[in-house]
Amino acid sequence: MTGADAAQRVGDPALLARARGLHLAARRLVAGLHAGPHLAVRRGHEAEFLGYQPYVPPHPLKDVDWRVFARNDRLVVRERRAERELSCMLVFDASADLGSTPAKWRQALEVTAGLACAVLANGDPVGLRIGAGGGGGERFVPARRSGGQLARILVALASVRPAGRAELSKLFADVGERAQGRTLVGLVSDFMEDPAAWSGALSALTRRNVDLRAVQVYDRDELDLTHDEPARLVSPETGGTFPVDPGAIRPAFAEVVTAWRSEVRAAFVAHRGLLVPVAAQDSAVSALAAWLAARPGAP
Amino acid sequence: MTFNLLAPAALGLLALGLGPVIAHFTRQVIREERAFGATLLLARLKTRLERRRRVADRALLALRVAAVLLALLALTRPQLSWPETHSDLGGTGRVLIVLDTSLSMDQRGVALGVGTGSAFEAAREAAIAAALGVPDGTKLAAIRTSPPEVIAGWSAGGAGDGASLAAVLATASRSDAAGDLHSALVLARGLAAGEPAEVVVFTDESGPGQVAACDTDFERILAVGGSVVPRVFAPPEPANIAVRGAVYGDGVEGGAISVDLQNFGADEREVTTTLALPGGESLTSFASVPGASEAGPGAAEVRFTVPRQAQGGIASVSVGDPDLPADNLRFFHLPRIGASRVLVVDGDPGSTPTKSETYFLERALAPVGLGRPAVDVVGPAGIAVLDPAVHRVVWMANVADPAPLVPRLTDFVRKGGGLVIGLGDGVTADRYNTAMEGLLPLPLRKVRDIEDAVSADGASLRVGVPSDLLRPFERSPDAYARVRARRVMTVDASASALPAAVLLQWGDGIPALVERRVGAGDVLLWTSTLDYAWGNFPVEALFPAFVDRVTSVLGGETGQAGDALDGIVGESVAVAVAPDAPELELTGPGGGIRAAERTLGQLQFRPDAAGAWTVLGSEGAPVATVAVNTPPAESDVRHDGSILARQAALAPDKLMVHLDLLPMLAALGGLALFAATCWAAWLARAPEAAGESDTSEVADAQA
Repeated sequence: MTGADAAQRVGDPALLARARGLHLAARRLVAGLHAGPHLAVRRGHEAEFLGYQPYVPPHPLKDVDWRVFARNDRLVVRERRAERELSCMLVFDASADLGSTPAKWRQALEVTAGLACAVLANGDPVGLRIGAGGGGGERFVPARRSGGQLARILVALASVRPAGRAELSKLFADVGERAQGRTLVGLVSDFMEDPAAWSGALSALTRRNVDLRAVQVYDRDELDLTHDEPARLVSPETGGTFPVDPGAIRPAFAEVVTAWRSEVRAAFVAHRGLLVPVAAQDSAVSALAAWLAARPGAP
Repeated sequence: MTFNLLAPAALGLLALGLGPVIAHFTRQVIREERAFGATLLLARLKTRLERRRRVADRALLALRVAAVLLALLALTRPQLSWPETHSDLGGTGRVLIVLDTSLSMDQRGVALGVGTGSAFEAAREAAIAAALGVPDGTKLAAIRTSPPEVIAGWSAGGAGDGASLAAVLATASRSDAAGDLHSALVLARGLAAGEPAEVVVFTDESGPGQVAACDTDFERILAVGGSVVPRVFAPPEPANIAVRGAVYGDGVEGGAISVDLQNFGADEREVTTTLALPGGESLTSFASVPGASEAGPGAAEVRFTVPRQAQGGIASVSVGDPDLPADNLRFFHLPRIGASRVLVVDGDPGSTPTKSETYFLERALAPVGLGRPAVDVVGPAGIAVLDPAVHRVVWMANVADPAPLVPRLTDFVRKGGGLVIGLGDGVTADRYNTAMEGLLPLPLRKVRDIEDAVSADGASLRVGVPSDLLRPFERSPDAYARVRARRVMTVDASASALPAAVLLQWGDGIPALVERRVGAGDVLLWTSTLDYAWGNFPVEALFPAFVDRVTSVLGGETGQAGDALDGIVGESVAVAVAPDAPELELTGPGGGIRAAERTLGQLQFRPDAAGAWTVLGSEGAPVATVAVNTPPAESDVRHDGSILARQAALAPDKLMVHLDLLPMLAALGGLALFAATCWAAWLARAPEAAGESDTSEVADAQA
């Protein structure tokens, strides 16, 4: 089942259009991904032998079969199949803060869709868990690698609207409880909650031997306070307002942003997780490549 | 121009000017509202947000403050006041033109009808135009300030009076003397004779205290209904560099001349300074003179090193200053340097200093100052060293046999040298009378002991025939009285055929100092000793001064004997002369003979130009040289007081013009308020438009 089929089942033309748009964006991302060097999610040492493939840089030299090289003077690598499936659960933060700018929201959706597309293309099961947000779509899509799984995920993403608070600690705990067997958890969020409140909850994931990888989506205009005129800045989550003169506070705000980024990075480092930041204004291809290429447990 | 407040109490309301500022802060409207996903981070910055605010819409705030301040300032009733005179002359029926002809009117760079010129040229041009422009029937007169004199009395009041006065003014010339505006106004008041008249002063209003000195005149002219109308002609910015002093003093080579320069302009300038020595040599240097400040004119010193030998006389220093050329030269006396040496022929060196004429002569001449002669001492056999090109005076001291000396001495004296003969125990009358017949002022007779009724030390000295040589000592007869001699050589005064004069004599009439002119030179005979043997002259205070004077006059202190005096252009110079001195002649800087007034014991004249002025005696010998310079006050071209302002202070009701600023300030305040209102309205519309565009953008993004 394609994304368009899933949308037709839903019967909402607007949803159809958004799902199609997401699908196209995800395919563009994955296509860009294949154009550059990367590693598949499930390639690894603990895999069943499939055969030899010629060595192509930058494939790690440690995968080279040196015995073959000694006998035939050819550099080959052994291709294996994973002994166990690596299930991937994508966690999408649909809180109102992530939707504070259209660009940031769009980038988060496309990154999530792209990840789903890439994992499925690799033959691994993928699921989706949406935290917060509004709209009538599914909030949880179990991990599968069936033909209609991508459409289900895309429809779920196209259905969701930014709303409410993500409450990351609860979300991580919930995902941890659902994780069974060896699982890769992919977080897509702006992590715009106090790291002290949610960093502890990452333990619920890492305790279950979860491979933790996160994409942090941010809007450069927001963090750099690029606008000049004084404005009343409204929190989409709480409705709180902040009358701000950007010119007056920009240097101090930059210091706060730097400190906060350090805290977020430190939380993932502490749990052997990977954090890949991507700006709403930039291409997400390199971020996805970094996300997919990371070795399990090696941030 | 002055600024007054008729209601100064309203100044207290100016504090209300802070109102718009406070309101601007308190009512500062944030027009834009936008969603912001990083409020978590803003919350961390909250304390700083509360502390820091920035003034927005500065222009709007400025307009509002300006509106309030202008309105409040208007309430203080501000008023601008400035003195002003009517421009049309002839209202009183009598116009008196005062033309400043002082040296400072030589300032250049003043606009003329065509091009630029001196202030005097511009003033004279304007004065002529004023004379031609008065209405027919107006009586006219004219006065100059330097020297203050009437150059045209009241006209009859006819139709051609203006043209006649213009013709007189056209011939008026500037002088190098100081101006005296006060005296000119006194003359003007005298001409007005208590009747109202318009005194039009064409001046540069420069010079310290010139205008301030005229307060009384202004007051009295205003009191009778007249007025003093200034017409000021001066460059936009005063500028002048002048030589204010030149002094000869110690230094390497032949000494140094220190020249003081003063800059009366505001800017620092570099000028060339040229020293012209009496012998014709000239030295040039550059000097940077700082600009004038409130503390006074800028000053700089230039030093010239004088050659080892230089002719004495009047030297000059000039600066290359185009702003006021008339005061660029300064003249001063320079002594003869290096060439005047004295030869002492010592016939009896003596066993002790008190028995040595040389000892006393050397000490009289030896406080060797700059310009003082150096002394060579020889015995009679050393006369060969006498060089007319080097030595100017020969002192013979108790030479027993003068015969070997006579040929060289005679030649020396005839060429203009001076010879002073001192006697003593070694001198015999016969030898001298025989050998020195052509040089001795009077024949010697015999040695004689003289006594005095009062003192056992012998007879005292007194003046004989008054002479230029001893004129400096005439005012101190007591100095002569203390000089005594116990023994003298008498002379044969009956030999009247000789052109000799007894300048000093002892108390009993015996000649003490006899002078004789021989060729171009002079011979003096001192009938006593030049040491302590026959009298006390060498130890008296008069002796060094006497020796110095005799050496200076006979040797030529300044290259031309006579008094060295200083004078100022336009000021009287008095030269002391002997009452029975023969005909005297005064020559000016160009060498031409000038008029001088001879009174008893004085020759008076008023120099009209700077330079070297000389009083010559009957045989062309200089009696006095006068270094005449321009008046220093005229070099100070800085503006010092306004005639109009001082009159306005004396009679504000007549001369002050007032401008009420209330309407103008009120209008400006209203304008500022209107502009602020329009601006605020425009700003209020801006966020609405911005909000609409934001909404549409978000909708597009969602789609």
